[in-house]
Amino acid sequence: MQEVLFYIFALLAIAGALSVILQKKTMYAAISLVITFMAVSIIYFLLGAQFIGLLQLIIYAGAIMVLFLIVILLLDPFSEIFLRNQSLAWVGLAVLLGAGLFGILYTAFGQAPVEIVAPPVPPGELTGHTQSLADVLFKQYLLPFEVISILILVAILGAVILAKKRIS
Amino acid sequence: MAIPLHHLLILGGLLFCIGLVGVLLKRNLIVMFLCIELMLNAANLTFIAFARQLSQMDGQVIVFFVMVLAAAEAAVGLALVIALYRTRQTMDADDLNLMKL
Amino acid sequence: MKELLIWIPALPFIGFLLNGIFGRRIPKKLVHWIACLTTGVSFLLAGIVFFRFIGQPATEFSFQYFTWIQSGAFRAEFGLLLDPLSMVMALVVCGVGFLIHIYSIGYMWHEGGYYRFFAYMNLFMASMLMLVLADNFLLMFVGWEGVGLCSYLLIGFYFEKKSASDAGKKAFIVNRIGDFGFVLGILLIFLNFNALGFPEVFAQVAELPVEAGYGLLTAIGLLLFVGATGKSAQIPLYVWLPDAMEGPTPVSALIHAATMVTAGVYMVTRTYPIYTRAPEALFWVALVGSVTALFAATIGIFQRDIKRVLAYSTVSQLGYMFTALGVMAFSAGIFHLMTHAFFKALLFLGSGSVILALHHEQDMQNMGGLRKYLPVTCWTMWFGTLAIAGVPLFSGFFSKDDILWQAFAAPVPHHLIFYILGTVAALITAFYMFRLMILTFHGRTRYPADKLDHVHESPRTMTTVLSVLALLSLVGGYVGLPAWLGPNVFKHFLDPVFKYLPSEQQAAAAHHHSINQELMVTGIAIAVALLGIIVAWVLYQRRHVTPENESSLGWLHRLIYNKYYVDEIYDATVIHPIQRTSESFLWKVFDVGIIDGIVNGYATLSRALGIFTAQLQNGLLRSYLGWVVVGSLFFVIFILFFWSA
Repeated sequence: MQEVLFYIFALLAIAGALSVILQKKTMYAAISLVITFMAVSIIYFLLGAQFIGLLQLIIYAGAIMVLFLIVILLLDPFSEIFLRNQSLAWVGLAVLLGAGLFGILYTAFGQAPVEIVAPPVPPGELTGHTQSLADVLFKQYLLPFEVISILILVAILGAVILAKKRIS
Repeated sequence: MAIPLHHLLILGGLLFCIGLVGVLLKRNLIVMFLCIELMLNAANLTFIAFARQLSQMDGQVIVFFVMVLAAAEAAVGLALVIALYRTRQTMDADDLNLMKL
Repeated sequence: MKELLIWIPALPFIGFLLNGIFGRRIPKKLVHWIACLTTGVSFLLAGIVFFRFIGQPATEFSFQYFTWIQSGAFRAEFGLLLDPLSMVMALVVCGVGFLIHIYSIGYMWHEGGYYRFFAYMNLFMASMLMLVLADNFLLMFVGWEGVGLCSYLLIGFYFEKKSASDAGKKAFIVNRIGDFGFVLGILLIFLNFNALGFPEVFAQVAELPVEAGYGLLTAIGLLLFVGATGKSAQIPLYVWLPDAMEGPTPVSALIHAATMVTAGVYMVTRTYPIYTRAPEALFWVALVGSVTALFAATIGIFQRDIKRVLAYSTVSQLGYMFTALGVMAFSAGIFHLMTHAFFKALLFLGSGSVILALHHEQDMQNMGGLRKYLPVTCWTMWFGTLAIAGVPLFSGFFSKDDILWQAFAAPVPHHLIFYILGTVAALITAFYMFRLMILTFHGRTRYPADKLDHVHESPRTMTTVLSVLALLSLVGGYVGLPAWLGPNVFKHFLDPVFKYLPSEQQAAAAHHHSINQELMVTGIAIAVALLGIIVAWVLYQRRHVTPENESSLGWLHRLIYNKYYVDEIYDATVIHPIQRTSESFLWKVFDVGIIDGIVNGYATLSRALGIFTAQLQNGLLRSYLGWVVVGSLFFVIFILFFWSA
C-alpha cells in the first residue's frame, strides 16, 4: 500500500517539476511548484517523517510559495518566459549536463553501501513525531537552532532594506 | 511493504536534475528561483530517506534547518529581484551582464 | 728556453692589444714603435733560443705551460714544441715579419687606419707563431684560424672599397672550405689515436706499417691536405690569392708570400709520419703541387697588374714546395720555403715601392724605363728576380734545383711526371719574371710624361728593408748546397726531426745516385731558365712588346688572361646553385615558413587561448552557473571513481 502511494505521488512530483520548467507563463510555473511540494510532503508522511511533512506544507507550500506568488503578482504575472530565443547549442548543453549528472548519481546510488530495504517501523515506536524531533533538536542541535534564528532575523532585515523604496 | 531506498534516491536525483536544467535554461529570474527551491527540496528528500534508513533523527533535523534557510534565502532573493526590477525594469538574467570583463 | 719561448708569440699579441685598444689615441710614431718593437724583440728571442738550442744535444722539447681544456677525460694542453723545424719556421716568420713591419712604416704612413693596420699585423704575427710553435693539433688549429682571420681583416683593410671587402670575404670563405677538411682530419686523428699532441700521436703512428692503397692514414693525409690547399692556395682552392692583392702591399708580402701561405707546407711537413706511411696521399700532394706550379705559372704570363703576376707566382712556387713534400724531400721543401720567403717578400715589397712612387698605378702597361727614377728598387728587385728564376749563385737556384733533383731521383711512382711539370714551370717562371722586370724598369717609358717629375725613390725605411732582403736572396741559399758542391747544413739541421721515417724510405734515402745524374739535372734546370730569359728579353726588350700587343694573340690570350675562367666556372657550378637554394628554399620555405611560422604560431595560439578563456567572464549569470555545474560534475566524478579512500 505504501509503495503504491509512493509511486503515485512520486510521479506527481516529477510531473510538477517538469511542468515548472516547461511552462510559458511565470504564474503557472509557480503553481506547478506548489503541486510538487504537496506531493513531496505526502512522501514525507509515507516515510514516517510526519513533523517534517507538515512543516513542508506550512513553510514551503504555505509561506515561501505565497511569497513567490506575491512577488510575481507584483511585478509581471503573465509575462512570457523566453524559451524560444535560446541558442540550440545552449539548450543541448544544459540538457546534457543535467542528464550527465543524473547518470552519475544513478551510478553512485548503485554503490550505496546500505541495504536496499529498510526494516519496517515497529508499531509502538514514535518516530518522526514532534517529541522525538524536539528531543534531538533542543538537546544536540541547540546551538545551530539559535544561530538559525539570528539568521532569519538578519534575512528579514535584509529583505526589508533591499525592497524598500528609495526616498529621493 | 517498505519503500526501497534506491527508488527514493532516484526520485531525489531526478528532481534535482530537473531543477538544474531549469536553472540553466530559464531566463526569468523568478523562475530560476523556483527551480533552485526545487533542487533544495530534492536534497531534503534524500536526507529524509537516509534518516529513515539509518533510523536516526539527525536527518530530519537537518531538513528542518534547510527549510528555514530556504525561507530566508527566498525572502532576500525576492527582495533583490524587486530592487532590480525597480532600477532596470527587467527580469531577464541575460540583461545582468555589467560584470563582464 | 721554456720561459723565453712563450714570449715569442706572446709579445706580438701584447702589441696587438696595445695598438688595438689605445691605437686611436696615441701618436702614430708610438703605434709603429710598439708594433715593430714587439716583433723585433720576438726575433731577438727566437735568435737567442736558436743559439741555445744548437748548443745542446737534445733535439726535441715539448714544453707544457698550462692546461687549456679539461673536460671529462679529454684534456688539451697549451704546449709549445721546440725542434729544428719549428725553429726554422719561427726564425723565418719573425725575421721576415720584422723587416716587413719596418717597411710598412714608410708605406702606410699616408694611409688611413694606421693603428688598425699594425694591430692586425701584430695579431697575425702572434697567430702565425702560435701555428708553427704549437705542440698539438688543436693549438695549431687555433693559430691556423687566427691567420685566416687576420688575412680577412687585412685583405679587406680598405673596406670601403667593394672589391676589397669582397676579396676578404672570398679569402675567408674559401679558406673555410679547406678548414673543413682540416678539422675532419684532426677529428679522425683524435678518434683513432686518442691524443692530439704531436709527440703522442706520432709515436703511435710510427708503430703502424706503410699503407698499401687507401686506408685510414691516407684519409687523414688527404683531409689535412684539403686544409693545406685552402690555406696555401693550391688547386682547387687557390682562387682567393690573386684577389687578395686588394690588400696593402706589405700584407701581400707578409701573408701571401712569406708566411701564411706557407702554413700548409709546414703542416704537411710536421705530419710527415702520417704522410710517409700513406703513399697514395703523397702522390696526390705531389701531383696537385706540380700541376699547380705549371698551371699558375702559365696564368702569370699575360697578367698586367704587377701584383697579380707575383700572386700567381706565389701559387706556382708553393706548388714547388708541395711537389718536394710529395716526393718525401721534406727538407728541400722547407728550404725552398725559406728562400721563397726572402725573394718573394722582396719582390712584393719592391713592387709596393713602385706602386707608391707611381701613386698607386699597378698596370704594367703604364710603366717602363723606371730604372732611372727608382734605382734601389730596381737593383734589389733584380736580385729577387734572379733568385726566383733559378739563376746560379742566388738562393732560389739552390732550393729549386734541390727540389727538381729530388723529384727526378725520388723512389716514388710517377716521379718523372712531377719532374717534367716542375721543369716546364721553371722555364715559364723565368719568362714571366723577366717580362715583369723589363716591362716595369726597362725599355721605353709609358708612364705619362707630365707625372714623371713626381716619381722618386721610396723613403729609407723601405729601401733598407729591400736591401736586406736582396742580400738574403743572394746568400740565403748557401746553407743548402747540393751534394756535389758541399755540405747541406740545412738538411743536416733538420734531419733529427724526421726520426719517424719508415724504414723502407730510410733505406731508399740512403741510396746514392751518381753525381753525373745530378749534374745533368742541374744543367737542364739552368738551360730552361736561360731559355725563358732569352725569350723574354727578345720579346720585351728587343721588340718592345707591351701588354696591349699581347691581346693580339686572340683566343689564347683571352683564355689565359681570364685565368682559364676558373672563377666563372666556380660561380656557375657552386656559388649560384647554393645561392639559389638558399634564397628559394632555405629562406622562403624554411626560415620564413617553418621557423617564423612556429614562432608566430605560438603567438597566435596564445591569442586564441586568451580569447577563448576570456569568454569565461562574459558577465552572463547563466554561463557562470553552467561552469559551476561543470565543475561540480568533475568533482563528483573524481570522488566517485578516482578517489580511493
